[in-house]
Amino acid sequence: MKKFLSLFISLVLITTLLAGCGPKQGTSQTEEDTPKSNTTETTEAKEKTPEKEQTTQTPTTETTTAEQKIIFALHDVPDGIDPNVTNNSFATPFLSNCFEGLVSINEKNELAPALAEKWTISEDGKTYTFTLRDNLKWSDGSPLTSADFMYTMERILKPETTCQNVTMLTDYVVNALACYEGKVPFDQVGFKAPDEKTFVIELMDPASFYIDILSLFIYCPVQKATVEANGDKWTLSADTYVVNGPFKITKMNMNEAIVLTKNEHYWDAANVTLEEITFRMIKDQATALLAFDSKEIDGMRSVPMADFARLKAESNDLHIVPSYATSYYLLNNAQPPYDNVLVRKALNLAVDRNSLIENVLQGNAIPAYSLFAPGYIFNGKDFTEGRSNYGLSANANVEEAKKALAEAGYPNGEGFPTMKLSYYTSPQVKLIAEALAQMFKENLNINVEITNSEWAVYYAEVQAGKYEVAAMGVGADYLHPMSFAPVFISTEPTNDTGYGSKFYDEKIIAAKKELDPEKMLNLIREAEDILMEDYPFLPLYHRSSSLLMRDYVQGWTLSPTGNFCFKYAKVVK
Amino acid sequence: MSKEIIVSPADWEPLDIENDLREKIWSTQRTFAEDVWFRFSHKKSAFAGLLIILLLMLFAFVGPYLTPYSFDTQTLDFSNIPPLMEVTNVDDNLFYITANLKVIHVGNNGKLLAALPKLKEDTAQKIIYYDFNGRELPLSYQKKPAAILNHEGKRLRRDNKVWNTSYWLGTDGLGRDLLTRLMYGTKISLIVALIATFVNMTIGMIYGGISAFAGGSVDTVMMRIVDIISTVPLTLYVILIMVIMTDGFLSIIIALSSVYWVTMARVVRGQIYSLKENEFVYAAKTIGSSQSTILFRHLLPNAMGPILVTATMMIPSAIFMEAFLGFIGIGIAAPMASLGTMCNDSIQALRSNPYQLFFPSLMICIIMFAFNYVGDGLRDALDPKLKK
Repeated sequence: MKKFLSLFISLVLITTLLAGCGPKQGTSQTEEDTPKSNTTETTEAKEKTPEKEQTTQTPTTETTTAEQKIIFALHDVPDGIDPNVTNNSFATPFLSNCFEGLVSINEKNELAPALAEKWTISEDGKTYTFTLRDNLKWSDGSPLTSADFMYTMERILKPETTCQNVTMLTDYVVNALACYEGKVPFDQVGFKAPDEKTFVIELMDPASFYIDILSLFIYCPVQKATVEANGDKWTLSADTYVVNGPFKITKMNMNEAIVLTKNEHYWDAANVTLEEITFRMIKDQATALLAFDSKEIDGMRSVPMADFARLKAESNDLHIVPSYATSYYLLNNAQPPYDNVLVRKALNLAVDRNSLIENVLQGNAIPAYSLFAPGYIFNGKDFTEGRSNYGLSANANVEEAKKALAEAGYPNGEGFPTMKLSYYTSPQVKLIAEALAQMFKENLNINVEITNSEWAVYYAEVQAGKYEVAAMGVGADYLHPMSFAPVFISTEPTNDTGYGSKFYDEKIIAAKKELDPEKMLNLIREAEDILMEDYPFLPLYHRSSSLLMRDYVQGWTLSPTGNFCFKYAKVVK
Repeated sequence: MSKEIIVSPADWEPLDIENDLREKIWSTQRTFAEDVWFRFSHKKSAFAGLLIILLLMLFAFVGPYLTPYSFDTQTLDFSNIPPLMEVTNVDDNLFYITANLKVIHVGNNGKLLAALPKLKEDTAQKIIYYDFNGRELPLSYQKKPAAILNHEGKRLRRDNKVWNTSYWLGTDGLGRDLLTRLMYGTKISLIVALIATFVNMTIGMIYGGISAFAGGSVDTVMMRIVDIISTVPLTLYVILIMVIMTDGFLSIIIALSSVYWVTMARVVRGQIYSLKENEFVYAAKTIGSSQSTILFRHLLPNAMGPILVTATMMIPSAIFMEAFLGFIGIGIAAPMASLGTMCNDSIQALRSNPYQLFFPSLMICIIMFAFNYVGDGLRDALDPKLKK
């Protein structure tokens, strides 16, 4: 009897434990439960009244949320929210809404004037002259002038500021690199502010895509007063975080919630409808999905892949935005047998990209046959239009793959050493790695050993060249094909592939200097053709990013480079 | 009631008095092992636990030979198919619509036949046309959930339910058979647990035995080392070991066996300490037995009861540790399955495909229950104080 009693008690305990689980839902449940438990003592007639009260309550709560306020769940804390310093994608929700540079990307993914009203580019393509808007102000009401830009650029070029994207200045602007290295003072750098409303940038070499680079957050001005008064800590509290964008931060608790309210001093404040955005940090995506389903939040980033198919089939709130990015596997070109182009070709042919996308990614991507992602439109034509598939297809071409492997000296995979396929710890990447391994095994008869490690360890090993086949991806910083090019330039530090082709390097350098945009794109295409003759890597797919947002929140934008802006968003009910 | 009782005079003769008969104990006499087994098998929960363990071993070690799949056989077309499918009947052909809007032809016996090839997609009308033996099969996803349309363009309901006989427990995200993976996972768990326990038992017995038998300062030093090891949280320790070594089967065993022996060492030390002052030890010493003979031939066999109980209780915690390591992502390397990694893979899909998490976690529960009950039963059976 005692046994049964203890069993019963443990069961009860387990059920209470389970009831205690589940994020925050508990609070809404208890609210519902309390009136009911009160009524158990009263009569049946009375029991119905509290429920009626509840139903009348719900519309009133709805009208309160119909105010211009939304709650949005983010899942990772950025390493910082200083626009000059960070390059972290988790910072973009804050930076896109709090800061604005000279130019920005609009909802059609085109370049649009922002703080700069207009600009002129000199005929040699080296001098950019910007005219700022009238009455630009910081969120504390003080005026924003070209002096702020000068201060910001000087700040970026100090090594102690540790700007992650500093090459976006030093690669292009006159004397910027020398200043960064401490060889020349800042007044010799190609930034000038002739008057309060004019800001001039001088480039070393003409670069027609430089205007796209200017939309990066690193070029956003910061306020001298607050940075000098608070040092590095100016981004840490809401009071000292002085901004110039459509929203300002009023409550900051990075690990829980950040509240953004409308910035009245923003130049376009008349067109900003949304009053308040709350970014809630919910680390677990499944938990965030629960909160979304229970209407606790209005939207969330990064839908769990496992639920993607279900949501796509059932929900109207799922939005899919193509990313300007490419996911691929690195093949270590410096290491046999992957130094053999035929082996790399065989691996490329053996992968069934369609099957990966349809079944593993649940259709959330398009197959990739090269490095450069589609999404850059020039003269109404996408850059990738008319591009060759480089002998690759969406489905595996097993015969050709086997032929290439045989030519390389491994007929039917015989004698091929066990492949070390490495990936970084992430559920999605794991599935892809396992599926790939199986494809190599089945289609090429190669033995595959899969290993994984945490991103920090993994990336260090990849950079050191200690890998054979490794998962990697590249997301463009700015919306221009040139953003992808450095991955395979032999002199670039970001080139971890062991691949180097002087023909490719030459074409890219020529493209950088080309002033005519169309000719430049042609040069990039030629470089790409040279690159893909060697199959230096294993392109898999161009991913898209997904987010959940209720249909009553409209007008938000998510750019292919990941800028997530609520400037023109509003709640319509 | 008159019944004559006739007693023959011979009955009154005295019996032959035989000594061994007089001395005989007439109840059944059992050896210690038989006694333990008697008590163990009469405890229902313990016996049930033992039966379950035997069944699990059959499942884990014989099962893989009986399935047509291997743990890494992928059929990407059949990913995330549940055990019980809601299918649409179109002219006596059954079709299952997957969550990512693919149509799979299902035989009447529940076998998955093929994923239909896509012909074209009408994005304006939200209809995908699939090819079924030359016939067009339109799938509309305008209204949720998606449904197949008949000739008149009416939505057909998914009103038939069919058990999946190709994959009894369904498939995971890569179209691998869950049942097969469960067999391999159970096998890994059992092997890891048994080997780790065996190694722990050996180290613990030797270490604890020497510590207690030598006594004095040797004992103090050895026990302080045990104390130091046990102050470090075991989980942390195991994780550190796993990070330094690459993930794999061997490193899990090494990690588990290098840490878990401290409990065993303490138990053995306690037992030996109380036994070593007994007369039989002095007797052995008197006739000149060596130290190791006394320890391994006389003392340890006498402490075997508590050792066995500790060992059986250690098995479930080792299994749980292995599953836990797999769950946090530092367990066995993919694509091999273990119960923990299976749980880890499926927790992402909990809301869409709950069956993928249910089966491996159920298996962990069953294993834990079985071993705990057996351990419980053994403790009761081995402890003479509980003898009825």
